[in-house]
Amino acid sequence: MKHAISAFLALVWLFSSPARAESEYDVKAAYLFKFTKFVEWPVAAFAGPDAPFVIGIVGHDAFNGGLDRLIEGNTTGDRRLEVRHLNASDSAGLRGCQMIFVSTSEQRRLANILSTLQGRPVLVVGESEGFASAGGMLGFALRESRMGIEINSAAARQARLKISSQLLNLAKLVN
Amino acid sequence: MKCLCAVIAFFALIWPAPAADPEPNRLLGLSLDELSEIKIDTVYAASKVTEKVTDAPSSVTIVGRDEIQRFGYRTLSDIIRSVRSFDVTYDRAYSYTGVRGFTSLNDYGSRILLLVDGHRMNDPIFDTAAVGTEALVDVDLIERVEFIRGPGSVIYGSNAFFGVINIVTRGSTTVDGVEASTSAGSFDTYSGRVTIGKKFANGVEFLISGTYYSSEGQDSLFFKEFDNPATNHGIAFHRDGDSFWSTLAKVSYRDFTLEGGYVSREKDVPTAWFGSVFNAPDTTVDSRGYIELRYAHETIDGWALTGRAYYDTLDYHQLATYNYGFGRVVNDDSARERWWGLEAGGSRTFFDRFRISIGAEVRRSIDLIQRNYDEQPFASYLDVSSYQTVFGTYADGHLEINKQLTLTAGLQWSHYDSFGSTVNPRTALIWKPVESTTLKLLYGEAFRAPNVYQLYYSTFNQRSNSALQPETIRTYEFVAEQYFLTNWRSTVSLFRNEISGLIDTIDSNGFLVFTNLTDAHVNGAEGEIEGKWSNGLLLRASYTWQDAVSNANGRRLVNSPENVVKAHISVPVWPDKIFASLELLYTSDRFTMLRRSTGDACLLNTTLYTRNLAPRLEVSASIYNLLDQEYRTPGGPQHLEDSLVQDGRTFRIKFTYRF
Repeated sequence: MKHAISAFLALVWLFSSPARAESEYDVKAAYLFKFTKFVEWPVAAFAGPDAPFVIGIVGHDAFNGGLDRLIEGNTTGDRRLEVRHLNASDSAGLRGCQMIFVSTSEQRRLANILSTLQGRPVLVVGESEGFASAGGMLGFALRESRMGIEINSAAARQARLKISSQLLNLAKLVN
Repeated sequence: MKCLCAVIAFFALIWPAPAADPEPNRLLGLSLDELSEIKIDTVYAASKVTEKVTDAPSSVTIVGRDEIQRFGYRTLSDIIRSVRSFDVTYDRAYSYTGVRGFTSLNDYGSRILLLVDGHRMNDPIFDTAAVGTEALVDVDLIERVEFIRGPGSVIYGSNAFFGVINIVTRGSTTVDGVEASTSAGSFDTYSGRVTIGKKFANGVEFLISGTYYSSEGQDSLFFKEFDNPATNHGIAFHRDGDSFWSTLAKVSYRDFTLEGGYVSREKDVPTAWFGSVFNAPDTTVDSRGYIELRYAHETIDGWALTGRAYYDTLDYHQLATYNYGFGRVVNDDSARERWWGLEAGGSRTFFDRFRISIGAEVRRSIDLIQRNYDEQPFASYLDVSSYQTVFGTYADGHLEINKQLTLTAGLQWSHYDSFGSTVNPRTALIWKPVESTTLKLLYGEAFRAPNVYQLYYSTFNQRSNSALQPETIRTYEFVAEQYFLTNWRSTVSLFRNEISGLIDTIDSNGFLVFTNLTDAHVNGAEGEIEGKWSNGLLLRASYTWQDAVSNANGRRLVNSPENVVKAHISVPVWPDKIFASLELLYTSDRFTMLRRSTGDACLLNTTLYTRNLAPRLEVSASIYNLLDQEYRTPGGPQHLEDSLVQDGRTFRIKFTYRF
């Protein structure tokens, strides 16, 4: 019993250590960064040649600020990357992004978000089950302990986005 | 002490390998393919839904293929032994799995539910969870093994008593061509395997594999209980041979998978069990097979649907020599089992915060035959045909109260034609105050139905009991998981198990009779700490204190060590090419059935594993029980031996080549 208590106390002590974990959301954040390289946006998607590339997090920030930290100071092509935090009803805000990440908290507003962005070159990424089949473009899906991607290429085509074959090969096509 | 010295020496030799922290934005530098290969700890078998380990309503451990290769695990029982809370006892015929202070010596692992790709392996007659050389899946074909501690009856019904072990087999893409493996080891042990796997452009994928294994076993084994001239001075000579062949095949297209497997093992039994003649050629042959069609589909409105239809077989045949006083007689004991089953289930998340899983199953026997007879002069003691139909249905809800707090609750109903119905609940409250901390409060109930062997097996030395009731368990557990300093994870668990009506044999007028014999309880605490680095360095240590006591007499249970320490170190001596790994398994003393102590045991197993050194070639060299510790485990009621000696130092070398 004595052993048990001392072992327990030792582990409790460890609990007081500051904490950070490489997690699912680190991987998702890295993917979002990759998407900026493996998807082609029409020139018209940007306000001007110097405009930043904007990634919007819609709803609850499951990255806990991790995406902001990861993206900070990074570029894609010649464009500076920027993260914005939006809510689903902010139509102008949504249209000002090149990519949005729809949190599970906003899944039920997906239809509204999609109609707001109808025909606009905004890559809609999500993480809820069946996100891509539900009309989103790229959905994260855990497959055999790995973070897989589901792609609805018809939806991406309608938004005039070109997804590279490298990314398509990796993903599961759902349409 | 010797043990400790060896560990320190190992560290001193191996330590120079760098354990650099990855820079924070390391993930950005990875290619798309590399990103898609990063593992995120998920588990399927805890709720029949793929979920993160930290979200599962149980304490979960995952052992992946990489770890199996690096630590040179030979059988599923090697893998099970490496996991905190789990234990395997080998009696030189079968391997019996136990959890948290409870390892029976004659239950064939029946209080554990064993799944292969979600398919139930425990059979109706014996409930066997085969994990030694009798296991169906070659460890080389394992992608990962999910260990779920605590009761799983809420999803699975019977056998998910102390825990669930789910083997996930490799996908065809991990083979992508032909893979061949061969090994040689102590006691003239040889094995060979060929696996073919391919995924075609049209989406069809298949994997087919065959394995052969043969071992002479120990030349001679000494059992002091038989140390007299009439029984060869206690020496069982060439009575430890072990051989099996097994195959696994699967083909998938879209939502459908057809999977089948078969294993047939023959083991010589040196222990003169069940009162047979010592040093006579006793053998046991176990063959197990299944074929299953599986369906998994996600509908557009978010339902994840699964279905299974399967047909299973088990054939068991044991020969033992008896001496009734008028000369030797060979006794045949056998069983033939054929059964089928159907399962359907679905899960869906509503309003993004409430996930419900529901399912139903039926299992029905075609043939359940048990026979026992003497060959010459012929005398039949048992020829009984039984039937079993099992119905089960469950519902399990998972409610996200808010971003930090989740409540899981479920209920399962099972019906058996032998004893009637039983209902088993499970509930869990999971609190994640921050992303890196998970606290779980768990309560569950489970049952194990009396099996057909216990209900209907009667011979000249054993009596059945058709009035047996299910064994039941209630468990209470608190789990805290903490990720810290980037690479570390720690777990603390406090648990209490209350077990009622354990079925065991008692000696009644010279017959072994099955009865709902024992009530017992187990209190325990566990701690584990694990560090993993991206260069492959792995450090893990766990400690379990468990106090398993019989309610009848307040004494510690047989075969239940109070203290267990497990430690694993794997060092990339040459990153991604050469790994040196050391496993330490310590158990304090166990009581035998005669209340003697077996003494404590400290085993060290070490493996040097290389890949990518020569193209396509993997080599692994292992020494098991490095210190040549002589250690013993208690004998069961079927043995005259009070304890059974286990293997000393052994080695194995193995080559795997991909064509």
